[in-house]
Formats: sequence, structure tokens, C-alpha cells
Amino acid sequence: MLDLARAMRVTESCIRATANLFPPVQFPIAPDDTLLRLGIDDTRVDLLKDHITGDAQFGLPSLTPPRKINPTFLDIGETSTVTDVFVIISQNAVLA
Amino acid sequence: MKLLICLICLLVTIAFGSLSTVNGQSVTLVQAIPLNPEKTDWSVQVAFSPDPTGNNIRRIFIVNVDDGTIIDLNNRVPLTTGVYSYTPSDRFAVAGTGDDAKLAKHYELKALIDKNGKLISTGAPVDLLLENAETATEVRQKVKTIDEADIYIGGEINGAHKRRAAFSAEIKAQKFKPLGSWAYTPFFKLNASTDPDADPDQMEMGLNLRYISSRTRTYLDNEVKIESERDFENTNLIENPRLTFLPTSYPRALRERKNGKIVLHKSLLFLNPFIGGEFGKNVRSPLKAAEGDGIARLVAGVDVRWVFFLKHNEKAPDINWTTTYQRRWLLTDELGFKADENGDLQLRTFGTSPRDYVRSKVSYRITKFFDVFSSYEWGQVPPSFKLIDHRFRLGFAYKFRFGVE
Repeated sequence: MLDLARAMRVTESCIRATANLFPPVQFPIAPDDTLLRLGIDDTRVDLLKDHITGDAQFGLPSLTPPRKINPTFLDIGETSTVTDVFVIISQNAVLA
Repeated sequence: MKLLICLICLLVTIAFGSLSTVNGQSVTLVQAIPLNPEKTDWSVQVAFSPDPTGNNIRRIFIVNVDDGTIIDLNNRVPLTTGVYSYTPSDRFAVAGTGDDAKLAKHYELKALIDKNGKLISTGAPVDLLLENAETATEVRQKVKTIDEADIYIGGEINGAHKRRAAFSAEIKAQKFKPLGSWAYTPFFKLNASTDPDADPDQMEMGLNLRYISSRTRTYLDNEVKIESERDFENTNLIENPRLTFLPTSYPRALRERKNGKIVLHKSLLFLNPFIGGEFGKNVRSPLKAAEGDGIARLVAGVDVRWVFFLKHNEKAPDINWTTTYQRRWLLTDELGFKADENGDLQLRTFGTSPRDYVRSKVSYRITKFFDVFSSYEWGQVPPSFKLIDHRFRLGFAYKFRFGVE
């Protein structure tokens, strides 16, 4: 299990990296936003999963100590909310 | 007395929970975190959805449901969007050690949120944070809408006076499974009609191995498939690599801050260009002389998707407009057929001339699982390259996606 603050930071950062939502101040993200509303459709959801599992800058490997997640747990789609992704990451991330 | 307290706590929990759902404010997760090995100092992290912002949290505390005692939460510190940290007034009871450690009592967080002048009660059970756990409990997301379809079944019947009714069917079935940076799925696709002037007559089945590169924003699909007519009269064995580019949408998100003001867009445009090839061999042909011929094609095209959100706060788009255009350059001579009135194939073309295909579809969401749609199709698709001569359709679709509740 990963603490909420770090789980939310990983979630937000990976969503921003996937949809190129930079600078953050220009693209505010709310916990109940769906991925599609943030520019991540079903075709791009796998890019988000790749960021979460493999991105050394924003994803779980960037944490100290690094974390990992079983990709089959990331059962998300374009209508999943930021909170949905965050809950999955928080509850399923384990030490790498 | 203890039983009565527990019962009251349970009723309060149910009442608070239902109220929070109705009012669209919830506590997503609550974690109790021991700050030292002796577990004398604790921190509590709370995630809200949506973020109520600090000053709107009027009251927040934890109830020990087992004995009715209250633990106050003080010293609020915002950590990130919607997540706050608190210092509890008492310590939590823990049973077990290592991965088996858990809270010894049933703790429930309660919060009173001021939302636009209305006071909303919400809450959630408290979890013990097992920071160094080696294993995790599987928690998967429930699937909500038709747009995440792994199975798609569409159909229509149309007819006219003194004319035989025509049946059309469109079926897609696939389920990607992760394999490191790769994903794979067996698949089956059918697009066919009994109307000879509007029959793509394309059936595909095989295995797709996909490499996902978030760095280059691309998918490399590698399909090994049987490409056939629905009755296997004309069948090819094909290896189909395809590189799909996934640039960011336009605009990048529905909500954007410009000149200090929040701008809400109503639509998003997604463009996915792709290039690839189709290489293989004919296995069965209506023209025996062509049987066993090699096949080599280059393919390029673009998938366009334009989504419209007519109402704010809707999770799925109300209108979906998708268009696919693809062109095949044939590197070897291939046959093109036309079905006559009896459904028999008649040779129409022979050679390497490029074959185009375009398809556009607009769908309007009536319910979560039910769409009405209008579509247009023109062009030629393998294996028989039958001409789809401006096929218009108006129909319905029922879709669902595999999910875990």
C-alpha cells in the first residue's frame, strides 16, 4: 500500500505526462475528472499505464524506495476518474 | 449497551454514506500511518473526491465503531489535490505484525463538508498503511460505459417492397492482457452484409502483440491473422505490423486556464495516424490459378475521433464522431471481386492499383450501454476487395466491456 499523498502525486504526474498537461497551472486537474476529459481516450490509456509502471521520472519507479504494480490491476478506461486511478495505485503498489 | 452503540454507529455510517453519494462528495480513502516503530505517534491521511478545499471541511473525526469513542483530527496539512494530513488525538490499536498487521478495531472517519452553503456528511473506513508490504490486495476499477468496449455487436435488417431483406452484422471481440511493456490479445472481427452492393465481407481472427512506448507516444501492433470472407471462400494468412502515432488531443483537456480565467471546452479532437504493412500468402481463392500467391501491401491512414460533451460533469461524451481512412498500396497483383445477385463472386479488377477505404460514424449515447448511430462506408477492404458502394447505415449498438465488480 502506498501513502495517499505519493499515490496522488504519481497519478497526477503520469496523467499530465500522458496528456502533456504542462504547465500544471494552465491545466488544473480535479479528483473527479475523467481521463477522457483530460485528453486520454481508450486508445491512449495504455500510454498512461506505461507511465505509471515504467516512467523513471513520474511513475512508481521514481519513488524512494521504488514501487511496482501488477499491470493487470490497472483495469482503467477513458471514463475512469483521477480518483479511480489513484485508489488502484494506492492500494496495489508494493515495494519493487 | 455496547451493541446499541455499534448499531447507532452503523446506522450513522449508512446514512452518511448514502447522503454523500447523493450530494456528489465522498471520502475516497483514509489511511492511519504510524510515525514510529512503537506506534505511539500517528498521522491520518484523507483523500476527498472532489477536493472540498480546506476551509470547507467543517468537522472531521474518527469513530471507533466497536466502543463508540471519538478520535479528533487536528493540525490539517494539505498534501496534494484533495489529500489532507491530520494528527489524531489518540493512538490506534494494531493487531499482528509485518504484512499481517491490521487495525484491531473498526475505525470510521466522518466529515462534515460545506458545499455551496449546504452541509454534507460523508465518511469512509480507516485502513492501516502497510508501507513495506510485499503483496497487495487486488482492487480493480469497475467499468462504467460502453465506450470502453472489448466486445461490440451491431446489426441491422433492411428491406423494401419486392426486394429481399438484407442483413448486416458487425462484431468485434478482443481483450488485451499486459505482458511487461507489451500487451497481447486474441481477436475476432466481422463486418459483413447480405446486400451485394454494401458488403465488405471481411472476417479476421488471430493474435495481436502490441508494444507500447509512452516515450515516443506510439503503439507497434503486430497481428498474425487469418483474413477471410465469412464463408472462407477467399482466405489469406497475413502478418500485419502497424505503427500508430498518438499525439495529444486538441485542445489538450476540456478545462484550461487562459489569462487567469478557466475556459471550458465542449469537444476534444483525437488524431491517430498509422503506417504499416500486410505480408503473407493466399490460402484459398475463388480463382484456382491465384491460389497460393504471395501478398505484400503497404498501408497508411488515420483514425480521427471527435467527442462532444453537451453537458458539464458528464463522464462519457454525448456524441462520438469517428472516421477512419486507409489506403493500401499493393506490391503484388491481387484480385478484386464483385458478388452477383446470387452471391457468387465475379472477377472485377486485377493488378496493383491502390485500394482506398473510408468509414465515418456518428453515435449518440442514449444510455450507458445503448447507442444510436449513423455511418457511411465506401471503398475496398481485403481479402476480396469488394467495392462497398456508398453504404449508409442508421442503427443501434449494444456494447459492454469485461470488468471486475
